[in-house]
Amino acid sequence: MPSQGVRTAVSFLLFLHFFAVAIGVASSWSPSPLTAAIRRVPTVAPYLELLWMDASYFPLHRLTQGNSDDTDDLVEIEIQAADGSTKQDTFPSDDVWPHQRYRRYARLADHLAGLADVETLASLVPQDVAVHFAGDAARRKVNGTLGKLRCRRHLMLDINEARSSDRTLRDPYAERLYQDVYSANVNAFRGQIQVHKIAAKGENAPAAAGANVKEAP
Amino acid sequence: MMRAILAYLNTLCQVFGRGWNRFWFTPSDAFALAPVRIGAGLMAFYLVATYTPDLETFFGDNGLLPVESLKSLERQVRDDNLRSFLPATLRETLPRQYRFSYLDYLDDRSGLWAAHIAGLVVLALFAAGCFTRVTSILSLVVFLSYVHRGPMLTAQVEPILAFVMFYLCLGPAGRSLSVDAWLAARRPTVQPRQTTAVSPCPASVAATVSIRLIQVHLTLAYAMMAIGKLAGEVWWNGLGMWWLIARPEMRLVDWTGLAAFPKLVAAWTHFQAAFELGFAVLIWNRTARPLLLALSVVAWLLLAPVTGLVTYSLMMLVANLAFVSPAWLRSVRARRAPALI
Repeated sequence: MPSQGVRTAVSFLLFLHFFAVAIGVASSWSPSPLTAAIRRVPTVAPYLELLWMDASYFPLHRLTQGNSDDTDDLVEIEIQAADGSTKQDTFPSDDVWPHQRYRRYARLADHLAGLADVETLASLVPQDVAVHFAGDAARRKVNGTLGKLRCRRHLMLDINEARSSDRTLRDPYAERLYQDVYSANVNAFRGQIQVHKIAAKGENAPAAAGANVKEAP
Repeated sequence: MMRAILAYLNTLCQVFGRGWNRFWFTPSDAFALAPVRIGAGLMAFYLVATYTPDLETFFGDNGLLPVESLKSLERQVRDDNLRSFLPATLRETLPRQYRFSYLDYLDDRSGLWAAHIAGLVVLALFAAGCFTRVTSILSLVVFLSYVHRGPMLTAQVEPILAFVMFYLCLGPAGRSLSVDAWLAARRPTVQPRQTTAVSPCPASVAATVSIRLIQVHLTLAYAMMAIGKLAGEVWWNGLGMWWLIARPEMRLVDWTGLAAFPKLVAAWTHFQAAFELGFAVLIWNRTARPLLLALSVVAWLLLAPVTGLVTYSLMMLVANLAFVSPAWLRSVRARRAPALI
């Protein structure tokens, strides 16, 4: 066994470490004023966040609560090509392999859907998605509509529907199980790409505040 | 009365101190770290390698995740009031205020690819146990750089792998089943300082600290997972597993036919929640430990195809290896390849 001095020093560091981890667990998901204040103490937050050790192992690791946050989301973007044809991209796409890649696109789609309800954040991820997929189109068309972007939530069958004798009722891919959580027009304006969230049918809301306008590549 | 209280506190401190010293500072066989290192190294290699086809799509020029957008998002969600409006499943995978990723500074294609390939080489060396003291730290930097560069692409596996890799940096993870061990065996032998009954390697306090840190943190994670489940209705009413089975996009196998057997679905739901709670509480009991480890194999291997969380399930099994006796691991290894020990 090491000397008393070494043991004391290591024990002190262990105490500090587990104190920080406990604060990370307690403050990550739904912080109290106390845990939030302790987390703001210099060195606690940098230590936890740089090491990615501030997870509470709670909302993600409980796997499901059976609510709408635990469903799958799909992002679809339609961009008009120069010849008038429409190019459609969807992610996550079934043809990506291995499954870990699929999961990353699925998580990005989850973030797009999950941020859609907060007005100031709703168009952050869609803007980057639009620039990625429509950058070429904006070079060709300096002004005008380039296409559309939408995020659809794929709701799940409940256990009674799944064992129904009615085939249409137990179809997990029935149209009634898809719900639009975000829709936007993708426009070009002076060679820049803009995303305009569609607030209601036929109505174009202004782009969300903040970095929603970007130079086309 | 006062004397009795002081005597009790004195005894409490002494017993706690002895237990603490025994728990953290009894030298142990570093062999226990070897399978965890190999498993965590291979997992980190796999996770980073699977970025290869999408490297430029995510992180390149006009990629889906520009650094400026991450910073903007982080600034806006720093406010706890705003965070509370976000879905719980997103709050832990948003960009952090304190983040470091060397990928942030690579905006040209060649730099990005060079860093990616170098990262993969480092992770392969770590998994193989080559220059482990250095590659363990570099591997952590590589892995965390990808996590911080694309936090919104992460999910359940990354927080588990992050703490396991961090703790492996603190112990002699490359002392067994490694290129380092093979190279050391070729050098002239030195007299070992202290050996355990079952180990030909010197016992190590650093190995104890490292393995104990993994064990304690893993137990905390299991406890939080179990509490998370028990806080929701679906894990009580027997439908928790159904809502995982019913997710049509993510699963690898379609077991929705189990809808015809609701009691089986309920039994699976209760088993999963009870297993996680039982693991957190009973894993420290030596008699219950082998049973819980065996149950963990069943629980995670059943969960992986249904949820599509293959890497997460495998990573939980890798982390569980921290509870497997090094003597047993050595005996298994000796039966399979006696000359390599």
